[in-house]
Amino acid sequence: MRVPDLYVASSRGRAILCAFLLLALPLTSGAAEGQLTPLLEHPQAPTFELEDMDGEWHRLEQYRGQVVVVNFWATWCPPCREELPSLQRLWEDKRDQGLVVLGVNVGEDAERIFFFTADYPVDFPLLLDRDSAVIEAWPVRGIPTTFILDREGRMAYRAIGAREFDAPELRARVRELLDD
Amino acid sequence: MGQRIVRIAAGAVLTGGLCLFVAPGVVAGGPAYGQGSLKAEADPDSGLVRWHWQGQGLSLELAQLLPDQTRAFFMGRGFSAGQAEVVAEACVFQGIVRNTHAEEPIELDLARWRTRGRAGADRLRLNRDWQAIWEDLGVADSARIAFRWALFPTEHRFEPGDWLMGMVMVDRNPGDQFDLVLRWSAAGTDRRAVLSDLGCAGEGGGQ
Repeated sequence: MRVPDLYVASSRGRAILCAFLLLALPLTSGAAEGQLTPLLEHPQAPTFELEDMDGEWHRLEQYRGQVVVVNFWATWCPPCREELPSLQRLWEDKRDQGLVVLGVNVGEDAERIFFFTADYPVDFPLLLDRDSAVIEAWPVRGIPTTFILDREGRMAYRAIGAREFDAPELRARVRELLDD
Repeated sequence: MGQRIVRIAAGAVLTGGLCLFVAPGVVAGGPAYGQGSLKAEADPDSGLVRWHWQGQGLSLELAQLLPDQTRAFFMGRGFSAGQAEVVAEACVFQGIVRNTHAEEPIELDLARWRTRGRAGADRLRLNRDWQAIWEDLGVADSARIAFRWALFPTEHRFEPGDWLMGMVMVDRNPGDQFDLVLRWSAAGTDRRAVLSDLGCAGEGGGQ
């Protein structure tokens, strides 16, 4: 469990930090390991074009023909942080087979994300949805929400809340899409 | 609807020498709430309380947030001190909802939830209520975006395995006590549960 990026400069602040640490620990277990919701009608994913941390632009269409994981997240969101390492592991394991992972950050700037990635290193593209226009165009009500798109750019699976993305059951779903 | 309070031994965890926070100090258990059960844990240092209700395919955790925590969070997201104070004066919880049913989706609409206290019944303070305030106060777009996504969504459908965390804001004052009436639907049937004797954190700690 990482320490939330709260401003803490006093003993009172330390007490607040302790309380936040406690609150960040749910009573029940964390990520719902490998459970994904299949989207039976496979709706076409809304298109987008977003800049990443390095100033490079990414159009969703450029990944047509590949399986794409689109993860909506923010640095201040504890479940988002919880699942990032497993997304990284999934990407490392499957990228040579054609898997793309795109982390779409909601409403934050590159500088904040840059410092965040010192603690949560990820190598897949982190895209900046600064004005939240993309997340508003997707069927998302809360974060983290993740979609897995098939090679035709259609939404095959959705996960609301954190997951262990390298759990066997979930890897099997991704493998099936890669094998299609 | 009373609760049976049971004191249990508290364990302690030292985290990097920074602070001591502890396993449950107080557990409130007791009669079933409809077809569910409510547990409460109090942190002996801060006094902050976390409630966990579970039943009928729904799991709800509500953890008190101190006004200082709320101020710090939103000032860190671009709110001015004065703007953050508006939220800190509300009654704020960190909420986690899970669909624990193996097969059925559940649907929530927080607009249907009610609080009941001495001052009568009231509804939750929802994102649309707050956004109107932020517009009047000229809150920056980036801060309003963070606020919208930090709040628990007003309406949501949870498939089996889905869960979300977000802030739940109650239109009551720090330190107030109230009952919370939950309403949701599963398999086309309306469900209801009442969580008794919840409380808003005050400036100094939990209830």
